[in-house]
Amino acid sequence: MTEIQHLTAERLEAYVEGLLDQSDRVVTESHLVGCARCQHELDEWLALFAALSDLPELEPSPNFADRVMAHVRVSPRQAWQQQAARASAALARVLPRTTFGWGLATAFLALPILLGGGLTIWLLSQSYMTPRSIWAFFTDQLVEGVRAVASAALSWMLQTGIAAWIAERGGGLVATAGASGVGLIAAAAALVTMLSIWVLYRNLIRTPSRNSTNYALFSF
Amino acid sequence: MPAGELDYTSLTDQQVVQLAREGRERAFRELIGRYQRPVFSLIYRLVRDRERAEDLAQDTFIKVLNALDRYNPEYKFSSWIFKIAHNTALDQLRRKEPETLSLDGSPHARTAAEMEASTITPESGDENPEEYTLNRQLGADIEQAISTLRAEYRTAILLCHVEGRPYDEIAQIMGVPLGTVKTYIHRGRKELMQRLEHLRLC
Repeated sequence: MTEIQHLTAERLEAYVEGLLDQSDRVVTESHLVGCARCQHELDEWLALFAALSDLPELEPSPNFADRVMAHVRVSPRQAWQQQAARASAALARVLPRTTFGWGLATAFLALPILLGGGLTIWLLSQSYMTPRSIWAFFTDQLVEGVRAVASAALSWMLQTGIAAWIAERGGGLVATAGASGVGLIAAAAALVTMLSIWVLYRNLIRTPSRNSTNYALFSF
Repeated sequence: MPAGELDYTSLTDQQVVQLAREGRERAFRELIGRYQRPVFSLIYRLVRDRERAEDLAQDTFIKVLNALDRYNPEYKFSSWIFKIAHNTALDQLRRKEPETLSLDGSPHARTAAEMEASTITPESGDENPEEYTLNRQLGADIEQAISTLRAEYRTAILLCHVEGRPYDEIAQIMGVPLGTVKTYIHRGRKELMQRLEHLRLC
């Protein structure tokens, strides 16, 4: 005698939800026709779904809206307020939310500092290393890096023809404004650049202070 | 509706939110009107105390309406408000053990008047008295069975069956993977089947 393979609860649930594809649905329905047990189980699932979907939505007490509105700011939001709120929400999404998250982020950020600090301490502990030699090593590396970048940029400009374009336009400028004219333009550009650097320095690096004592303390 | 006045009911949630951001009180009230029943129902069935559910639903709306600037219109407004309601109710559940559900009023009610005042009111009212009594009893049994489920199963089941939210939106609201939502709903239903079996409802 062959044992009847009944439908699983998952299959019946998916059938009631309408999640079965065409072929599975046909197989399920043909089984249900001849199996009283599975039909009974199906009826139970159908009854549960019907009972759940008949659950009513409940009503809060009257004046609920008034009580809420008593605590809501209705004034129109300025564009900058909306942008600030969106920026704050974006920041909140990026920031860790749990103590564990904060711990992980702190550890991640502290890692390079600890590694760099450890390396420096180890280097200083070596008899042949001095702070001056370490400084010289790092500044040399920096200068070499800048040179490499400048060299790469120059070769790229030569390859792409940008240098030729500048030389051509520069030649045209000399021809029309004369050498002294070009010198004047270059001097004006240099002056503007120096002024810009000074303004940046005063505002970003050495913040001006009305307190002369503090100013003297922070001047160098 | 007077000519020239905006018909808020025909607007999408996103459009109403935009009007609320512009400072129109009517838009705030429209959002409350659209979501007060779904939000209150979800919270009530989670915390099982009318008074607390009212307070938590109120907190949810205050949080949402005061933070409309932070709402990202790319997402559904319903997902956002349900997520805040769900989190607000869960915070409360973590702080305090849930109490027994009573459809006949708050367990804190001491007099008949307090009991009557705190009785929950179903949305539909077009039944005859016999049907009303039968459905009320049936509803009470199902409510009782739902109240015994784990909070996660309860939220998933309610959002799926009462609010008709799709699985992916429920996953977004609950902050869990889609597969977890499917598991919650399947296990929740199976537990309900077992609990309702002796009542011959299924």
